[in-house]
Amino acid sequence: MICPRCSRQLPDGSKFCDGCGFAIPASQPAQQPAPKPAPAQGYQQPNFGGAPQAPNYNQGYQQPNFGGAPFSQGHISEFTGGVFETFVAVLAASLLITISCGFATPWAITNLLKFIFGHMKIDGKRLVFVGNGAEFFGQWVIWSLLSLITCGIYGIFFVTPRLLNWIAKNTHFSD
Amino acid sequence: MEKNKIPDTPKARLMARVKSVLMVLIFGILYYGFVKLTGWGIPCFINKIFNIYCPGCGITRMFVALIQGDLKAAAGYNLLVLVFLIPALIFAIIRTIRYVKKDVVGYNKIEMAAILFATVCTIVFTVMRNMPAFSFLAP
Repeated sequence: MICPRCSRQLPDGSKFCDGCGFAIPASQPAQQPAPKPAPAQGYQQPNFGGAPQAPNYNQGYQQPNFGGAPFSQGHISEFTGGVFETFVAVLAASLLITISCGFATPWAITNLLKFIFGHMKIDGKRLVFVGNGAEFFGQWVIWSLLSLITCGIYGIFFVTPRLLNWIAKNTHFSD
Repeated sequence: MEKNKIPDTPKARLMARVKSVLMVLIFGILYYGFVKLTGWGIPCFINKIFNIYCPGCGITRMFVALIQGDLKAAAGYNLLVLVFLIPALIFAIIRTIRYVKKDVVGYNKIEMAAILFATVCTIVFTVMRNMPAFSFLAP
């Protein structure tokens, strides 16, 4: 059979193309390769030792398969937030942090992350951030105090990985 | 911290928001008690380092005066936050209702316009309160 997207030759009954990863519809019948054209008079088609095959000029670009899950239409990764909307979301978080002199930082970060992950799709699946500003606040106070005591050293080295760990623990794929 | 489940029902989302509000109220009450007892508030680092008033300077004293019913003093400490307090609460309530009912985290056009307007007002207020001619806006 032939892949409908890249026209690669495939064994009959293949579910995915080995070249571009396209998901072969189950209803697609096994296709025979195009018959070789009759050579022009006087032209002798060279025989390179194997069975002669018709040239295939419809191969097109073949997306390399890196051995992972085959690429399929609909598995798109993208950020669906608008330019202006995203700018306003960041602005709202900055405003909240500035006006509260940093007290509302956990809620500002939580709301911003909800916005960012709520507009993000990975392989067609939407993400959802379930972190809560309330439970983050306790940690934030401790991190702020430790950073203050250590003149910022704790903040520089330890806060970022702990914050990212908290973000990762509270991010899911939405069904 | 344990991994939270997805709040996939309106009730779960409402409980998450209620938890946040309660935490803010508890912290606010404890902080108010601390300030009243000791007279100390958390200083503004922008003011300490750069010697200018940030938009949030005076916010603790503003809330203390507001709780005591002294509106004039509250306005003197931070007019911006006092004026925007009720609109901000209404804004937060509307967004919470939308989030609880429909699990919406984006911003509509009215909300975007409101945030931009608040940002412009904040910038203007910050510049003005640091000018000698508008010293009445300083805390």
